[in-house]
Order: sequence, then C-alpha cells, then structure tokens
Amino acid sequence: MDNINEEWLPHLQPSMIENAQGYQLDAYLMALEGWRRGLTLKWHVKDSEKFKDIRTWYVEKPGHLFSLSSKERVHYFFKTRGDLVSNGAVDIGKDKQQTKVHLEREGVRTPQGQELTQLESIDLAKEVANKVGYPVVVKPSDGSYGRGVFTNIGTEEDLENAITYIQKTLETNDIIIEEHIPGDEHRLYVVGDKVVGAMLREPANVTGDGENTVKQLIGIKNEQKKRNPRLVSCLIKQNPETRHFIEKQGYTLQSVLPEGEKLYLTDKSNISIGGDPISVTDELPQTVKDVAVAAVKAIPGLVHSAVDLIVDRSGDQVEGVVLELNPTAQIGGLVFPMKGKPNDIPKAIIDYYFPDTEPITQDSSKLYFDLETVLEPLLTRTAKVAAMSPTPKGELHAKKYIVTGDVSNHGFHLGLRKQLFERYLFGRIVMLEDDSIEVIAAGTDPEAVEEFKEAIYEDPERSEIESVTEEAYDGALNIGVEIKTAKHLQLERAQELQQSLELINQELHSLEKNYKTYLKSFSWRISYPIRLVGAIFKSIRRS
Amino acid sequence: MNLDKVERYDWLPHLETSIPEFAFGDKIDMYVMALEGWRRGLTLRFVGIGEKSLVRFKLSDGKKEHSFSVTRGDLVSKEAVNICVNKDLTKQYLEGAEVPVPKGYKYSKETPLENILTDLSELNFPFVVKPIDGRRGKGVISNIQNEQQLIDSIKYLREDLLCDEFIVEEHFNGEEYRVYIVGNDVVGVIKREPANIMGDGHSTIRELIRMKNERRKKVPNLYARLIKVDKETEGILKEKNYNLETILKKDEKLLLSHKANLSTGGDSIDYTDELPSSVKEIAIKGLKCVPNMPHGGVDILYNEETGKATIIEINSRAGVGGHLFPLEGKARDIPKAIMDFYFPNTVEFKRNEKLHFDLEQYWNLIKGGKAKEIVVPNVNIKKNKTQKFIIETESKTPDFRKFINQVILKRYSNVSITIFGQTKIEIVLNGEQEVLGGLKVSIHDFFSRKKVEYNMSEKEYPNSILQGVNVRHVAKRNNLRKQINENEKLRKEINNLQDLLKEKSNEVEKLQTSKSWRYTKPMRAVMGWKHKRN
Repeated sequence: MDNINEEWLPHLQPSMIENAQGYQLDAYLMALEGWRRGLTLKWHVKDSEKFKDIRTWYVEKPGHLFSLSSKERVHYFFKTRGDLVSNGAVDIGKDKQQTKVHLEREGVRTPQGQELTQLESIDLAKEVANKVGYPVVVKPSDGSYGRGVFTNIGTEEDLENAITYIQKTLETNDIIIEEHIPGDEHRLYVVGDKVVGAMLREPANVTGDGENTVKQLIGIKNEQKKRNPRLVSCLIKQNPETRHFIEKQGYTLQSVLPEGEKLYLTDKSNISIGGDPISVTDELPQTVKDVAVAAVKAIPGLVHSAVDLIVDRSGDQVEGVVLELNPTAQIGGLVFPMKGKPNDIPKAIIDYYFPDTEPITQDSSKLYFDLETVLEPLLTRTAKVAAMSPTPKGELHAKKYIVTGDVSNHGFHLGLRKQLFERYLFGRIVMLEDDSIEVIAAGTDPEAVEEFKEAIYEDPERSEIESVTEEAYDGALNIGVEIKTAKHLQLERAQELQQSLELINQELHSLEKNYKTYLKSFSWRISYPIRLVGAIFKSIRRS
Repeated sequence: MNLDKVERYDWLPHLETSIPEFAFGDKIDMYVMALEGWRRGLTLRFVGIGEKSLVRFKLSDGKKEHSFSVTRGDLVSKEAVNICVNKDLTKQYLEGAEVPVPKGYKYSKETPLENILTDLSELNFPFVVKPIDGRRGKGVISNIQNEQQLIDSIKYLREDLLCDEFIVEEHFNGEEYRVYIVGNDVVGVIKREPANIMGDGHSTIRELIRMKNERRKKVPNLYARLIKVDKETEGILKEKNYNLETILKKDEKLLLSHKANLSTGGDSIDYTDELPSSVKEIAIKGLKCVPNMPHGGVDILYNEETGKATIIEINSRAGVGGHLFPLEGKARDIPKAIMDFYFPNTVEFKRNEKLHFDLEQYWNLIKGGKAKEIVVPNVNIKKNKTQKFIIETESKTPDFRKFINQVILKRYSNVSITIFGQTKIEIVLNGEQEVLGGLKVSIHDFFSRKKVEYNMSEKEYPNSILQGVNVRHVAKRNNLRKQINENEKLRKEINNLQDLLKEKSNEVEKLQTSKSWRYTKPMRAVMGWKHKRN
C-alpha cells in the first residue's frame, strides 16, 4: 500500500479531537485554536447575539456557532467562516452562476458554459452542449456534496440521461452545462492574499497488491481512514454505483487487483464520499495559487475561502480553472490529509482575525476541552451561551499518579477532585481495568502539583491506599477536572454500543434495500431460491 | 422538591415546588435571588470568578446589568462591604451617627492583658468577646461573668483561634433580631432564637434533638444547619443537671446554645409585624450611616422589658432563607424587594412561576473548571400554562428516543419527559396556548407517520417544572450492575447482527455474480432507467 499519514500536527493529536468528529470537527478546530491563544471562547445557540444577522444553516444542534473575543474585539464564527466575510459574499458563493460572473469580470478562468433556468426543452440543452463542445459537465445550479454532478459527458444520449436524473431526483430545472476541463480537482484555502493550504482531491480509489480482492482492498483502505480524524466519517461505500463503475473498467469486487495498479471507484472527488485528500501545498505551482487568490479577491466581501479548481496541465502552462468558491468550507481534509504535509488552516484564519495575539505555546498546545460537556446545556436548552474556562496562564506542570488499593469509592474520587480545586489544579481521575486509579494533576504551580501527592492519602474513611507511584506527565490535558469511574465507563460503553448498533442496523437496512432492487429486477423469476432466503432475512429483521 | 406542608408553614406558594434539592443549604440564597430576577424575564448569567471559580450571577434587562454576590448587589459599595466586615469599624460609624451600640473596646495582638483589664474596669460584667472579622458567630464568646472567665476567653481567642484583633464589650441583655432593609423600608424581621427544643413529657433530650434536626432537614436554608451537641451544649446541660437521656417535661423549652445564629442550630421566627417601629427606626438609621449601603441585614438586640435596643452587626450579604422559610410565622419576600430596588421598571412584571432552572448543571460546569460563564435562556412572561400529556401506545415502541430527538429537541424548550418502558411516555410542557396545541399536532404527526396507535390524555400541571429539556427513564435504574448487564446484552445483539450482516452480504454477492444476474444485465439497464423516470 501507499505511504499513508498517521502523523498529525503535534498540537492536533487524535486524542484531543476525538470528541468532535464528524460535523463538529471544523468549528472545534477553529475554536480550539482561538481558545489556546487565550481568547475568550463562547458557544452560542441559533440566533444568539450577532448570529441573527449572519448567514447560517442547519444550526439547530449546537456546536457550529461560537464567538472569540480579545480585549479589543469580538468575532463571530459559523464553522470556519468568520464575520469578516460578508453575507453578500456568502450568497454569491452559494450561486454558481453569480460566482462565475464575478470571476470572469476579474479575468479568472472558469469553465465555459451556460446556466439554463427553468429548463423545459431538452433540445435547448443539446444546443448549449453543442455550443460548449463535448465532453461537457452537467450539474444542478444549487448543489453540494457532489450530488447530481455528471462529468465527462460525451454523447447526447448521456446528456439526456443526466438531465433527466437531475430533474427527477433532485427536483430542479435549474441546470448548468459547461465544458469539461481535463485535470485534477484541487481545493485551496485562501486567507487574505495568501494560499495557506492546498490539496488534491482524488476520487475514492484503491491500489492493488496482487493478493487482495477489490473488496478487501476497500476494507483495508477504510481501516486506514478510520484512523484519520477527518476521514473516520468518510468511508468508501460499496453501492451499486460503485460496482457499476468498477465493472465499466472490467473488474468486479472479487477481482484481485494486480500489484501497483490503481483503481478508481468513482469519478467524484468529494472527500465525504471516500475521496482522498492529498496535501500539495508546497508542490503546487505559484501560477495556480495566484489564480485562487485572484478568485477570492474577485468576490466583494470575501476575505477567506476555499477555492475548488481544476489544475489543467494539458496546455503549455499549468493553469488553474476555478469551479467553485466555498466561504464555509470544511477544512478537515487540509488539516488531516491522507498524504502530504498537514496544513494549519485554523491558525491562518485566527491570525487574520486576531493579528495581535501570540501563537499557541508548547504548553497551551497540550490543552483541549471536552466539547460535549460544554454543549450539553445548549443542547438541552438550559443555556443560550456557554463560555469556556480560559486556558491557565503560565508554565504548566503535570504529574501522573497511579494509586492502588481499595480506591473505587466514588466519594473518594469526588474528594480528590475537591483537593485538586483547592490547589487550583486540574486533571482527571480515571478508574483503570485493575481497579486502581490514575490521577493526573496539572497546574501552573509546581509546588501544588507536588503537594497533591500528600492529599491522596487524606481520606482514609473512603479509601485504603496500598501504593502511589508517580511520574511526569507530558500528554494532552483536558481542562477542568474529569472523573471517569466505573459507572461513567459503563455508560460510555453503552453509548458506543448504541452507536455501533445503529451503524449495523443502517448497513443491514441498505443491504436490504439493495436486495430489494435485485428482487424487483427481472432476474428474480429465474433465481427463486434466493427469494426464500430473503423471506427468512426479513423475518429475522422483524423479530 | 416539595416543601413539607405537613408543618403548615406559611411560606411563599411560588417557591413551593421550585427549589431543587441541590439548592438547599449554602446555595439557597443565591438560588432564590437569581430565580426572582430570572422569573421576571431578566437575562440571567452565572459566572465563575477567579481561579477558584466562585460562582456569581448577573441580571440584565438589556439596558443595565447588575452583578450579585449571593444577596448583595453591586449597588452596595466596596467601602460599605469593608465597613461591615470589620466589626470595630462598623461600631465607629454607628457611634458617629449616634446609633446605640454596646460599650466596649478593640484590642490587637500586642495589647497586654493588664491594659485590657484596666480599661474594662470602667464597664460592667457580663461581657462579650468576639473576633473583629468573625462570621456566623464564629469565635464569639458571650455571657462572660467574671475576670477569670474573661482572661480564659481572651486566651482562647488568641492562642486557639489565632485571632489578632478582637472586641470586648458589655453584654446587652436582650433577644436577637435580624432586620432586613431595602431602601428606606424594613422588608422583613426575624427573631433568632438559639438552638432549642421543646419537651413533650416522654422523649429524651437526645430524641428531641434528633426530631428537631429531622424538621430542620426539610427547611431549605436549615438543611445543613443542624443542632450539634458540643462542649457548649454539654456545659448547659450540666448546669441544669441534665444529660442527653433526660426526659424533658412537657412544654419545657430548653436552649442548647448561647448563640442565636441559624448556622449553629438557631431558629428563625418571623417578627416583621411585631417588632416596634422605634426599634425598626434604629435599624434603618444604622444601615443609613454606612455610606452607599442601600440594602442589607442589621442584627439588633432588643429588650422587650426595658424597650432598649442596640445594633451589634450589619451584614452586606445577609441570608434571606430565614425570612423565606421561618420556622414560625409568615414568609417575607426579600428577593422580590431587592429585585424591585435594582430593576424598578420590572416591579409591575408578572413573574413566570411555572418554571425554575437547574442550578446544579451550571454549578458543576463552572465549579468543574469547564465553563466560565453560562447564559440562561430567558423566560416568557406572557400568559403561559403547563400541561401534562400522557401517551400510551398499543405496541412496544422503540421510537420514543427518535421522537425526543426529532420532535422535542428541535421545537420545544421547557419540557420534562418521563419514559416508562416502551409503551408509556409523559410529557409536561410549559408554554403559550399555541405551543401546547403545537405539541399535540406534533405527537399526532409523528405517531401516525410511524403507524403507531396511541391514546393520549392531558391535564393541567400545577407545579413548577425545570427550564430546558429534561428526559428521565423510569425503567432504566441508575444501577451499575444493571448497566453492565445491559451492555453485555447489547454486545451480544451486535455480534448476532454482525454475523447476520456478513451472511447477508455474502448472499447478495453470490446473487450478483450468479449467472442469472449477469444474463439479465441488459434488461436491468432498461428497467433501471424506467424506474428513474417513474
């Protein structure tokens, strides 16, 4: 297999962000950067304070809206987008046609084509496609996650099929037909007039090793993706479309792929459907980067944004052709690329908003916070705004104590927490498998950290201590004091189990759906024994 | 928690079902103050101060914000606070304004004992000795009858309590009252009686103390302030030739302490209407002589026989629990008076008495070092109602969780849900009429979409409910063993499902690669397109 990244930015270790995977990742990365710099971090519910006047969407669940403030200023953020990006710029970004108009006005190259609003006659579409020249790309005017985007359409028949699909499935008659630019899709992130990160987005793919089948290779690749904080929620799916795509290339899921052969599983490069983010920040030619900066500049009120472009290497010069601007972009792929150097996008954005703040220090880079705990009151609507505790000021000292004996009493753990508080310390108390406890005590006063060892012995009524071993602790530190005792662990386990149960049910569900399409098809008549299995299958699912 | 009505207390109805057990004890004053402001529609925020994360709260009407430390708001100046903390300084201000105070002197660490004794020879026994900055009666030694006792007391203060500065003054013979003043008005008076029990003719002193403590545990502000049997108590019993096993005669009242503080087991009895206005005037005058002190609690000793009174202390953060939950007499709404003073434009506002908030959650987040500030959602002070909906389904419904996630969490803010197993759910919702009606529609839509038959009944819910969304599983007991078993069951189910999944995907794969499937490929293409066109 290829060399895959398992090394991340030292201040963004998986243990620090595992509580914010999936849809919460972007906001968490941004908030963490600001908070670690000593800015005041507050989480907000929908429409709280300035958010009434900022374009946001799908924010019923908390975790997307936050504000950062220094003594001088406050800035409000929706995921990765801050309030220095105007609403007008957001509106333009959402409308592909308007984006094009602005880009072309400033001489930024975009694919040639035309938007057809309220398309009724397919002939008109054919006419436009002929004018643009095949191969063409067909997509809905207002789309995301690559839904309904058909690239490299070479014939009128394919054009018709694609348009029918968009009309029926996506229920829209607003369609864009444009020239197909050969080349690789890239996402660049621009802050001010600088490209601060660039990645190649490769459609989901596997590389053969001469031993494993395509199906097995997908499994291996997904295992790798699960270890990546961004890609854990972006696994490669095996659906009829995937199979169809493979079959077109003369393979099936059961084929053993020759060593070194790369097989694409789709032609869509979206990370969310299994695409690989490959960081190319240092490798990308300056000319392409200049195009991205010019594109952002072309939109009034846009000061930072992701730029999706195709790098066209067909001509004499490497050229960037801009497809889309995304002011509210996901940055996980750039920060945690599958290959190549990780890009610290949050740092670049926060630098832009708070230029006078000091970068995070060695000490503050170890600190993180538990997102779920602080969002809980927002989720249950018992709070509108929750401000995080600030990061401790000064050099950090931390010790890890392993305490053995009869130490499982919850009251004892609460007592230890109190002892930590009284010394202005933070840390955690964790019940280990062998019923001993691990206590981490951290703070800015080395004496207090040292003295805490004595405090462990001060509760003979609720504990019987056999031994206390100590060692220096240099790992990640969750702010506040966390108690993870037997009950907590079991409840956590219950949550994990619930989640995997849901996941399996989903998989079963989609399998069943798949199964139904087979049954519906003509072939069911000749394959009656399988129907019998299906009936059993259903009866099991119902019970 | 329901306050105990068996005792027939005359307490405020709006606090009856709105004090969570967590707020009992030390936190009661902060809680009732914050609740009063919040229920008027003011914006309430809790903040953690300093490294120790002391919890304070702030209230705002959108134009101005006031911050509070327990019952003391920011209109009480720092200077006033400093004067109150220092009992000698307080006396100086009071004397300057010709308010009666006990005669006496202040001494420091260095003052030789002889000098003290010479000074005091002008005054008359009995004396009281107290630290200059003591709180809640700590270190106060009263009823000192002779020189030897005085020498012992001073020694105790200096050597045992390491007290540098203290006051020795004449003991004023009278009973102790706490007069709460806001602006120019006395808004509540309680008489504070030292810890005491009343004989019934058959219970021992030990039993009577236990019974009294049982009663105190049910009073929000006395919850943790129980009568303790200490050296002082033992001394009193010895003097009377009693011990803990003595059966007290019926209606014999026995004082168990010399201190009238509630924290040392004392009782609070409402005296607002009974205290003579001449005494109230002294209290008001006393508070007024402290600069920038618009409200506070004045401790006054008053002798009913002689009609004389003297101020012994002024408190800037006086507790209001004794006024709200007196063991005898009528409750006085001090939090209301204070909020009226800070936010005069809200005097006319009708408070929303149907909601209260979950202090525990905020407290734990701030004290736990997780959050620095929490803004509580505002309450609606328009006409609102609380309704209880009981839904019972015919078949087992695993969908209650989905119902809560998809319907309740998205649309409703003030709702308490109790799930009883898989066939019954109770929803208590507060809101305006349209909100309540909306829930009924949502319930109907959800269950009919899921094709689940259900019965629903509803009735008005009289108690206050917690603000926010609160879900409780009755069937799921908070039991570790049970949780472990449940997890084990879940794990098995997952394993089974995983096997099934594997088996099925193999089936499907076989099917795909089967001849019939491949032979029919062209047809499928046709059918597929047809399918999409339909």
